[in-house]
Amino acid sequence: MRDHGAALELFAAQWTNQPEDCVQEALLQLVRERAVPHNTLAWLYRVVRNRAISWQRSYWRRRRRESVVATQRPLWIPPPGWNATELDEVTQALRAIDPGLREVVVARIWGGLSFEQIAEVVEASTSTAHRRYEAGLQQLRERLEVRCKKNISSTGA
Amino acid sequence: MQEEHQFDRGLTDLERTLKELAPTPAQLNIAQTMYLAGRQSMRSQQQWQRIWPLSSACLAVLSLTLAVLLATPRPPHVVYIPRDSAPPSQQEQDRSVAQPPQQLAEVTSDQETHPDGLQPPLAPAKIDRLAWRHLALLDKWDTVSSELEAEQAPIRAIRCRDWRLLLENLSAADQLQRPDATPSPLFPWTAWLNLQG
Repeated sequence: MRDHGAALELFAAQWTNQPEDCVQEALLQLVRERAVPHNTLAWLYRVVRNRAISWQRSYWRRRRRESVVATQRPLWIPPPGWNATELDEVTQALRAIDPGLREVVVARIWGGLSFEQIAEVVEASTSTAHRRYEAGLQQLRERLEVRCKKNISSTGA
Repeated sequence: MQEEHQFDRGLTDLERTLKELAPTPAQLNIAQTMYLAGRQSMRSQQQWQRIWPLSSACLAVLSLTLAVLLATPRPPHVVYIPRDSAPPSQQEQDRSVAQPPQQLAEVTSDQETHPDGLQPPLAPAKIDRLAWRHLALLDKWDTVSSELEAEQAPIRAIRCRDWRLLLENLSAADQLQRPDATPSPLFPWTAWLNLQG
């Protein structure tokens, strides 16, 4: 829970603003399971993903999300050498890319999952997970470059 | 597991840069989660422990229901059985036409000259005991064919011609045994109805 809780919440935050509830329910479901899953980490990511998607589809939960959107907490801990603007750029770029690519990028970079585990989470083949990851990184790079150019031009002006 | 994936240098640098970012610590309340997990595990055990009390309660309710049903008085169960009015089979009819037995021919002649003038019913293929009783009460023994009588009659019936012979024999025997006795004014119903033997 301590090792993967943060990454799981970041993963769930792609679909819902109540990621901690999704992660907690996934952990409780893991406790209720009679047999330990073959790949516990991939199982947890898949359950969190399914729950977050179902929460997003729920009308009342959506209303609740809209009500708490103002109190949304930051996603990152500012590392040394990064300012808030750069963190915001990364966040905006992540939100802008395709959701199918974004979940693979988040699971790979911050979740530390292997491509086999990602393939199990997103229910696709390993090669598909690899291809999505590369495509996601390319989209991120394009958006971050555009933002960097905009920032440079705005600061230069 | 060492995974082999080749990206261009730009993507590898971006990947390394993004890995520097650490997500904010989980807002998950570990104590609450552990408490809920403990409750969930106990609840799952309790569900299995409830099987026997629930099954016992269901069996008790079933037993009580059956006892109430058994104790409740119910009206008698009446079964109506339709009369078997099936005509004799074709094989039996053919046999009767081809070789009519002697007794059957006699009965037929008796039936034709029945004093009541009633048409004898068609002989059913099989007559049960109640039907025999009904015929006996209506005094219609003569209307039954001899074949059926021989096969199915509970007692030996007496035919009109036999009755006459029996009466003559009885009166003769009575006279032989008690020659000086005066004939009884009463009709010997018991012997006539063949109830003694």
